[in-house]
Amino acid sequence: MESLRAGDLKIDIVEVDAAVRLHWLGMSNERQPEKVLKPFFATVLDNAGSTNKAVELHFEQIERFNSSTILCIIQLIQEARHRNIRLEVVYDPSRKWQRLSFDALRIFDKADGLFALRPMGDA
Amino acid sequence: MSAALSLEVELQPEWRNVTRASEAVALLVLGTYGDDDLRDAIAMVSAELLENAIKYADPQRLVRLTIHEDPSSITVEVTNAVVQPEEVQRLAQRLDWLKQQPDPAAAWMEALSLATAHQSVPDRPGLGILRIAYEGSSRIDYDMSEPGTLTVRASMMKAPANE
Repeated sequence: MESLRAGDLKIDIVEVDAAVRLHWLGMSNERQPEKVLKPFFATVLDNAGSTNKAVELHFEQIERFNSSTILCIIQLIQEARHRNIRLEVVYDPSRKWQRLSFDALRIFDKADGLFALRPMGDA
Repeated sequence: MSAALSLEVELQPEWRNVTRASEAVALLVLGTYGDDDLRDAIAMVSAELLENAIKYADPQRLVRLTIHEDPSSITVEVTNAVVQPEEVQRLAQRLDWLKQQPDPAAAWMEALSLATAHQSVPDRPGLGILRIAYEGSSRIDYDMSEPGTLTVRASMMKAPANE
């Protein structure tokens, strides 16, 4: 899989034994981010599903994203759950905007264990 | 004591200007207050208001971004020419809905939950407004006091000086 570059956004991919890690860098500020993110996420999920890996979204270094991007992330969370792929979101709780943004995603944390939020620094 | 935060700029309603303007705002806030969280919050508020304005603006007329403060609050305002009356109607409906929710955090999470009911990602005007209320801790209102224009205003209370 190749990293994604789209405007001010870069998503680097690092594959480890148990997970595909997506490191978000820069800014996600496109008018319609779903046009680039949706096909990219589809490839990531295909890869994770076929290799039995989890997906980790690392937002610690992203500067900011718009509300349209949040919808894309939610859609990814739902699609991963639908495919029975574990997805974890890692963020930087020392940055207030990240704490607020990602704390709200706890509504997707269900008993199935397929979605988790992890503040940076927690094991 | 920091200098007063003040900005007024007119922009072509082009999408790339959202980032340009919000980055300038981020630098201004950081230079004025030296506060990373406040920088992020006001830059986000500016960007979300500008995105909404540019989506619905008259492409031939400028969008105005204004930031000012008083002793208790910081206010971000965006003014655009109204070409789609339904823009104002949607905004009014969204703000009415927001008022019916227990608080902005509950409203934001409810909006995210509602978003999950859809299979595709729609262009959903108003989500940015809810984000401003929640993440930007801002009170939002609007007026049409200038004929043919819409001004949306987000005001956040300043933290007390001893905090």
